[in-house]
Amino acid sequence: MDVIREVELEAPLADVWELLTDDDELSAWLGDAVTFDPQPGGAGTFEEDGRLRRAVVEEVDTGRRLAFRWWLDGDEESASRVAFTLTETDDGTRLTVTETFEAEASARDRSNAAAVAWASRLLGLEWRCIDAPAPALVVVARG
Amino acid sequence: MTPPKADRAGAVFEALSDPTRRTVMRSVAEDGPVTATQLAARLPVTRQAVAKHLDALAAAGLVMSHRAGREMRYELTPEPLSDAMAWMAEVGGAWDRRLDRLALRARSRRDT
Repeated sequence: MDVIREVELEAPLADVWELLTDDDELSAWLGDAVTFDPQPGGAGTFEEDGRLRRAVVEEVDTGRRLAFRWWLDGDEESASRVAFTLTETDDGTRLTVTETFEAEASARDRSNAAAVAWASRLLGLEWRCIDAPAPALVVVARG
Repeated sequence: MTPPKADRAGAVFEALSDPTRRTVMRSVAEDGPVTATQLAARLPVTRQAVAKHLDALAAAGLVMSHRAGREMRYELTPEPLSDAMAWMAEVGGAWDRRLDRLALRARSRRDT
């Protein structure tokens, strides 16, 4: 099951890449205190709201894509995969965040989007896509 | 800690990934409490298939059954659905907050 966010950033791609890979920059947005080694196999720690997450970097394609697995310290079953994808736009940079949860159930299942949409309707809930620049909530099946 | 919410939500989404099962669940939601025989009469599905789908839904906690005479009656238990939705909203909300901070950071770099 994937949770996807997309955001348009008013900054050049090289700046955004730094925001995604530099400890001090990451500590300003992805957690309160972050250490991060942006190379394949590199380790990371993220403290956010008093909770510690650990990470291992899986994919680095400088300026394009960065992916890591992270999990709550002491709870490896909480592991998920986070992928950042960058695209240059006229006004700056588009960042897409995909967090993939690997619960055994969802890994096999390609119709989660339909299931979630259906479940939402049943509950009388409605996911709203908010206009840019606020990111939209998208729930998609694994492809 | 309670079982990881991602797993519980995963079980719900998995149970709902089958279109026929969703149809069965919708019928239970609309007409419950109902028996498998009543559902089979309403849906283009055999009683045996209905019973199998009801088992899967019950395993995910989405329906519960109680005995009424010779048959089991099924009704909806919406809590796991709400939990799954709440979990998704929580994960999404965390990213919203992080990306708000990131956008601010990106803008402040440009302005300095």
